Amino acid sequence: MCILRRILRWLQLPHKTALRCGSALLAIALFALPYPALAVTAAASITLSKQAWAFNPTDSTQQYLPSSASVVTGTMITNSTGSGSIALLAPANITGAGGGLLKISYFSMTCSGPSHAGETMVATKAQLVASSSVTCATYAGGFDSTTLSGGQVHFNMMIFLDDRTLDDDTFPATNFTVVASAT
Amino acid sequence: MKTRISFPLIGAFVVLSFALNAVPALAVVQNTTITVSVTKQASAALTLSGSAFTWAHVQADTDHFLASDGGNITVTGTLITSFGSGAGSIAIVSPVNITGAGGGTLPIGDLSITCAGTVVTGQTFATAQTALGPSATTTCATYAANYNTALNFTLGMFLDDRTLPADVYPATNFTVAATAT
Repeated sequence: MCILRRILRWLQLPHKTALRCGSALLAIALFALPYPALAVTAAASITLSKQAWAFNPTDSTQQYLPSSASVVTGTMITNSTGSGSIALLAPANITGAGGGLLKISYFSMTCSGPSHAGETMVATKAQLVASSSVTCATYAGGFDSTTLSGGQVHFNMMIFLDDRTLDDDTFPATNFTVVASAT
Repeated sequence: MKTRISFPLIGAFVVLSFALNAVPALAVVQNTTITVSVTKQASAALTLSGSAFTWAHVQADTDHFLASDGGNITVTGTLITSFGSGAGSIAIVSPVNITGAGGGTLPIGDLSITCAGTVVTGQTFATAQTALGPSATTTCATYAANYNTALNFTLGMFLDDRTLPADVYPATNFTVAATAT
C-alpha cells in the first residue's frame, strides 16, 4: 500500500497503526534528507583587489620594500570540526634576463585586518619559501564569514621585497598562487 | 499487503543517517593567481662629506703632492651595476686651467687625486695620486658588473706647488660624476 494512502488513512486508523506509519515516514525522512540542520557545507572563495605586484628598487638598502596592499575579500565557512586557511604558494627562484637570481626568500608577506573570533592572521613579514606555501590566515572550526560585518572576510595582504643583495636585473613576471581552503 | 516497520529498523535508519553525516567533508580549495615582477635598475647616488679642497697657505715650491688643508673627504652612497654586463665609475670632471688674480696660471695638471678604501669585490680604485687634466674626466674608481655594495671611501686631492706661480686662484668647481649601467 502506498505511503500516501497510508497518510490519508492515518487519521482514520487506530492509534497503533498510526504510530507505525508515522514512525516509518520519520525514518524515511531522516535517511533521505540532506541533514540541513546537522551539517555545514564548507566554502572558500576569495577575491584579491590587486593581482599584480611590481617592484622597481633603485637602491640596495631596503629589507622590506613594500608593495601596495591587495585587499582580500571572500567567503570562508568551515565545519564545526573543520578548519580553513589562506596561504601564498610561491614558485621556484626566478632567473633574470641577465642571469641574475631573485630568491623567493627575498619576499615576505604580511596579512592584517580587523580581529574576528576564529580568524588568525599568521603572517607578519613572514619570509616566503621557494616552491612552497606560507600561511597568511587560518580559520577555526565553525567559522562563518557570512556572520561578519559585511558578510565576508576582509583583510590586507602585502608583499615586501628585500633588495639589499638582489642582483641588478630584470626578472620576468612570475605567477604566485593564493590558495584558500576549507573543510 | 500490509507493510510494517519496526522500531529497531527505524533506529537502524537513524544510526545510518548519522553515520553518513559523520563522513569527513572534502576540502574546498580555491586558487587565485597573482603576478609578481621585479626590475632592479642600475643606479648611482653619492654623498660627499665635504665639498671643498683648499690650499690657503702654500709657501714652498717643494711639494709634489701637497695635501689640501682639510684633508680627504669621504664618499658614500650607492652604486648598482647590471648583472652580467653592467659597469660603473666614479670620476672627477675638471675645468680648464685656472687663472689667478694676478694673471698666474694654475694648470689643472698640477692637481692630482687619490681614491682609497677597504677592498670590496668589484670595486677598483685608480692609481694613487693620478694627475687631473684640464676639461677632462679622471677616473677615481671603477665597478664591475653586478656591483651592489654600499660606497664608502676617501677622496684626496693634492697640489703640485713646485712650479706654481705665486698668486691667488679663485675657487673653481669640479664635478664628481658617478655612472652605472
